[in-house]
Amino acid sequence: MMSDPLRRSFKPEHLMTFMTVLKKIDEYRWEIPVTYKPGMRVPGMIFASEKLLSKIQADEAVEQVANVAHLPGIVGYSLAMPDIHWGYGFPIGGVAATDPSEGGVISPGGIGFDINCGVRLVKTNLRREEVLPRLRPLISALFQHIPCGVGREGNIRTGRRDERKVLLGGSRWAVHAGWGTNEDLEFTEARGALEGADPDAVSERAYERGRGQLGTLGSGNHFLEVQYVDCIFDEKAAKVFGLELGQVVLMLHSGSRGFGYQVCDDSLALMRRALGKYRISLPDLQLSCAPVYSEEGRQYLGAMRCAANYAWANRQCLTGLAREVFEEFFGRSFRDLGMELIYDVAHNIAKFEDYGIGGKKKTLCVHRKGATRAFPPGHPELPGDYREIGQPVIIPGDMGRFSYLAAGTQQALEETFGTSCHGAGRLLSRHAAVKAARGRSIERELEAKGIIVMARGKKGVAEEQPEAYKDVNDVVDAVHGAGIVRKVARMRPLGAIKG
Amino acid sequence: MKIYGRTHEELFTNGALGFYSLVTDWGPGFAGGYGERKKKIVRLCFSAENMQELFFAWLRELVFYFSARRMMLEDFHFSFSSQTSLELRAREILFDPRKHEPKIEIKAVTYHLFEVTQGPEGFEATVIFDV
Repeated sequence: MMSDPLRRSFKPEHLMTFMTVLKKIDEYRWEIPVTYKPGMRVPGMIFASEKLLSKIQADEAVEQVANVAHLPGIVGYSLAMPDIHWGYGFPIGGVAATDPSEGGVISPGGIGFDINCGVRLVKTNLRREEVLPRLRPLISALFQHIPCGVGREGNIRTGRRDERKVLLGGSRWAVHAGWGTNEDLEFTEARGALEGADPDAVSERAYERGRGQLGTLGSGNHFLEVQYVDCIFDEKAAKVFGLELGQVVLMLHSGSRGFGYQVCDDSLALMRRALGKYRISLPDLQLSCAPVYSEEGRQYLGAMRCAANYAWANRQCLTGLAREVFEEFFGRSFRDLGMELIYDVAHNIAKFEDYGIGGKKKTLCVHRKGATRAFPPGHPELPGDYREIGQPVIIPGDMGRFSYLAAGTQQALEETFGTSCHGAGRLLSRHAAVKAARGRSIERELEAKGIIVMARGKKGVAEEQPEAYKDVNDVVDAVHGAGIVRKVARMRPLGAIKG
Repeated sequence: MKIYGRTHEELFTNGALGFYSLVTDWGPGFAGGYGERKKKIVRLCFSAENMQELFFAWLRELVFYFSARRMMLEDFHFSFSSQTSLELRAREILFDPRKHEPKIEIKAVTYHLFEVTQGPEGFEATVIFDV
């Protein structure tokens, strides 16, 4: 047998002991003691209700929270949001902050293959009643105009010089190229571009894989959804975000496409080789990492920031394409249609942020994998208009039920490095979801509920059927109950395009 | 995905065929329809710490070729000079998405639960792709 001494398989007996291992702190907090597994440097903390916890334990996610606690330089807790589910190395819904000044590491697996996968929410001044009679042709027009699905290339071509500009400028490049407005930048996390991107740290293979994919939605769980506001929880915040009942909004979920996948793939190979060099022992090779201040760490950060910027440029281009469809369809300019960006937020990223640790100000490297930044009112990184309310936290659910808009809180800043959940979280594996859809037409089932879904492949819709996800209401209730976001509004889907 | 092979050559060939069956409607005769589109012979070299890592490198190469270049490989001629070094000659086929529907988008090969074991019947590999 060929085996690697660094790798240990997950043990089924771990799965059976979680209820006895987890220490209930309160209704929404469950601790994994640091003694659970040899080598854990900090405890784990899962934010979830008891109802959600029973679902979370169905896969290996809890074990993965404990594995993340092995990372050198990890600070506080290995954190997990209530939408946590099994990922590669890191669970999806996991958060880990490391202290570079104490040998803290950066782990590409803590960001994921789809670097800066994220969501944006665009408002319109259209009412649900105006859209409903023409819903199918509207969704069809979006489906025709916006490239989506496996292998679908886009029409936005960039030469080598422009490729570098995309990687350095992110959304700013897209706005200069005519795909958006300066106001869009104002309402995008990090204004749509991370500083410190290094195009020379990116492999030729990543450039090659990203070519032709700008302005494409992708496949899997990526989507563009037309929704309407069906419930408002916080009138004041909703007003500041520009939302009212019955209003139509667009939610868009995509990332850095093949470019980001290749950056992560290249970096994992690099980090895998670095483990021995830095004498780092981990329970799962997918957590491979290197000190932030190492050659490998710097190289990954430079490339990861390029991929993050690529993703912001991509979502900005997709927004431009969606605006074109609405302009053509309704015969009014996108400005007349009130198509303003509420916010764009990353949920697969690592960023350097300042926190008070043990009475000292520390700059930490915060990994968020399937977790959304949720900064509180008054935070200097927020757009001026939102300074009183807190950062918009966009939480897509599934295509049959709801999505949410929430706001960040001080509690999140103090407990979760300013982070909350990123969605409903998978309940069924893709394989199990396809199996559960046999003999059914998910599109027809959704249409019976008044939701029009258009997708390139039937399998993709089956994988993304509502039953494949936890109920987002439960997830949002948990983060709201824990105080790490404040619910603002709930949206219902009208129609969606998918890969 | 579970991949079996009596020899290293068979394991590596089946790794490619298994991967193509996930991402395309690959099957008997698939390549036949592409006779005129067959392109050049490529030569690839890999080296790694051990056979397990070599197999991982091979799968990464297949993912890259298909995702970035829309290229599939066939007619493999493997030459293992040791447990840590491989030279390969193969023929490129251009995948045409207008004729064959791509099934799923594979982002990468993962180390999650990845292993290659050897038993009396040959080799068995377990691999999970990120989709």
